[in-house]
Amino acid sequence: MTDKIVQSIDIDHVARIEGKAGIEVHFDGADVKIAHVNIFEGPRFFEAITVGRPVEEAVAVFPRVCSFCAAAHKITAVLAAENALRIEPTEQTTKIRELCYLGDHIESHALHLFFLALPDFLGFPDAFSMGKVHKDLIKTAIALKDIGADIQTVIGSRYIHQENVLIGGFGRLPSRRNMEGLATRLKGLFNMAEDALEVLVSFPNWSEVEGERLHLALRPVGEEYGVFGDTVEATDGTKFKTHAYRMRIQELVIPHSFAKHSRYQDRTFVTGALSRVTLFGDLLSGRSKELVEMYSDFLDPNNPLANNFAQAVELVHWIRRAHTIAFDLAKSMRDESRVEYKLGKEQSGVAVTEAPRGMLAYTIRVDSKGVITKSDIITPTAMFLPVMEEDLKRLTAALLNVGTEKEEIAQKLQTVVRSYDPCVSCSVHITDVE
Amino acid sequence: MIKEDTRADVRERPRIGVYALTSCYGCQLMMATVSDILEVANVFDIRCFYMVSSASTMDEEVDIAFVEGSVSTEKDLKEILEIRKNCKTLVAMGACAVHGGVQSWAEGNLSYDEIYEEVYGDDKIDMPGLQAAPISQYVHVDYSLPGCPPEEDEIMYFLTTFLVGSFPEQKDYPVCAECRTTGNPCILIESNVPCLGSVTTAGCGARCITFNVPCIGCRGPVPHNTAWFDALATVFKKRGFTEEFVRARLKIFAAHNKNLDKMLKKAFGGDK
Ligand code: SF4
Ligand code: SF4
Ligand code: SF4
Repeated sequence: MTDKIVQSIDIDHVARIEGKAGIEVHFDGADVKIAHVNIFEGPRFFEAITVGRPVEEAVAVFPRVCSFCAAAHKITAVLAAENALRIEPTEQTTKIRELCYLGDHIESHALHLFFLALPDFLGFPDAFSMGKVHKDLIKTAIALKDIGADIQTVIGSRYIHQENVLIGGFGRLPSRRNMEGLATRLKGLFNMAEDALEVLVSFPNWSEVEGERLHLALRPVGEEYGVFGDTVEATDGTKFKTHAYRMRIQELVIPHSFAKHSRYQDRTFVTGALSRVTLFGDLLSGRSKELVEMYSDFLDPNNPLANNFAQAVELVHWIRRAHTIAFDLAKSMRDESRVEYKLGKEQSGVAVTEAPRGMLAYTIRVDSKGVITKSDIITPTAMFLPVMEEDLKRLTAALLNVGTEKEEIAQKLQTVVRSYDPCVSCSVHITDVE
Repeated sequence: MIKEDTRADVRERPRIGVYALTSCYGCQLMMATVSDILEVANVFDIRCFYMVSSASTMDEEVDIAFVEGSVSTEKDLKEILEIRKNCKTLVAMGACAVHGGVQSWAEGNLSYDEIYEEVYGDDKIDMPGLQAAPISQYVHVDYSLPGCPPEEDEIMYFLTTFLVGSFPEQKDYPVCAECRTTGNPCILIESNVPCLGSVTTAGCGARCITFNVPCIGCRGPVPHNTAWFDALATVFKKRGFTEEFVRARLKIFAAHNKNLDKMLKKAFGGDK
């Protein structure tokens, strides 16, 4: 006799992620019918509400899409606006922005790894209780989060919603002394930056969730592992210019979520730390390169849990790279005023960058009065959501097959969702449908 | 699922809950990362804080509820009603909760359906959405913690007053006052940039102006019937900024503020 009753696992609210999402899985025996990530976060319509407003105001509003990657949104929106206004930032501005952006990566990865992900592996409901037992770990977590936050505050005015990142440059430049201070602190954190990796190497990736997937990432400019670039590459060997992203990446409206789902050439794909390491890990240098070679088994491109590991490797790299930039700016920083722009005919600008969770794309169209006539945003979470759902389906089926209890399956599903480090607020900010 | 804390003093610790409606999670992130967070987690009994703890539930009673985000979906609405029922004191935390946030920017200009169509076209989504609104539109709010995001010292001030059984006082003077104590030159006058400091609630130490960036009003308008605003507000007109321009800019963070028009009239009307 077969069990005809369709059963389900329902998780109303996945804790320890950015934003409000649930998991809903329906199965019949070991046959998984549906695996949905339900996005309950309300929409905030950033693309609609900025239309008709001055571009300067719009770029001040865009970081409010998401707090975990506010600097990513701010910098990408500013780059798109500059592209639309046909101005180029100076070399120094680009360098300071990169440092600010790395501050965001460091803060975001530190928060994700220590506060959101590691409690699962070490068996705690949160970092507070984890910190009572693992005192050093929580110290590291706070030190890394702090340096990431402070880099953004020194440059951008604060670490959530930086107001001092503007079209053409900065209101006020940080001082050489500021940079020196950051460089010294960063140097002191080289060892601590490896602590997350040290914990993670005790937890091999679960093979049940493994499945082939396509990765997309931005080829970094200057052949040095980083966050800026103008060409997107995929693990199937194809590539495209960032200016063509709206042609290459399609978005679909899905009934169970305010977040749209993305496709690349009709295929689902992922983006994020694991994609960056998979595609461009050979551009890492020094210690992070050594670590990637040492632990290549943990960086399986087909296992979503490997994304935790990839973030931990990046943390090591970003701290060192941020140190190099801050150290250099401490010597070279000179006074510079903002690049001015002249309003001309209506034009569009595009920018794609690597945010902590993966590729972030902005298109902004500005008219002759400096007013926005169109904007379009695609966030990393919207890109990888469909693959995340495929993973949940595969994992549930594999676990049901070996008779795992529902309770345990539910826990494991949440751990997989967390490994993606989804940013639900981001995902609902949505592109337009033509 | 709930952590079992058997210590004797656990009953005396004030129970707090941190909840999110539609938002960017920045206010919660600010709260989760205050430098004394481990101490906060010790002296308060945190019953709900989904962003950081899986030992969280929505349906438990708490002494103080900190609510982030605007009411933007039917689900948000259900949740805020439930939170209000389950708490003694409710704090609206951040611009989204207090004023409806940047997502309310189009308030009064575009309807929900028009905004929806711009973003999703004709496609339908199962979940009903609402025009973004501050939580005070639906429930009684005891205290408001302004800012986008709120300042760390203010979060700590609120927590401390609750801990000692007192209550927080709201700031009722504009950012200009802080510009003066900080010693900033007035960039509205000197650089002719549209700084909203004169009509914006203080508390950030004039953060943006210290970076030579005009205030965009993230802490919301100065409360009505108190200081109202700084005399510098009358300078907008002299500097060639129109009432419409200033209104639109103020609406980024104050779309639902009922006193906006009165305020603008006072700033623009009296100056010949
Ligand atoms: S008030 Fe600002 S920081 Fe807080 S949730 Fe809203 S947008 Fe984010
Ligand atoms: S208008 Fe702006 S710059 Fe001038 S005093 Fe007020 S806050 Fe400061
Ligand atoms: S100066 Fe204005 S925009 Fe800047 S933090 Fe203060 S209130 Fe917010």
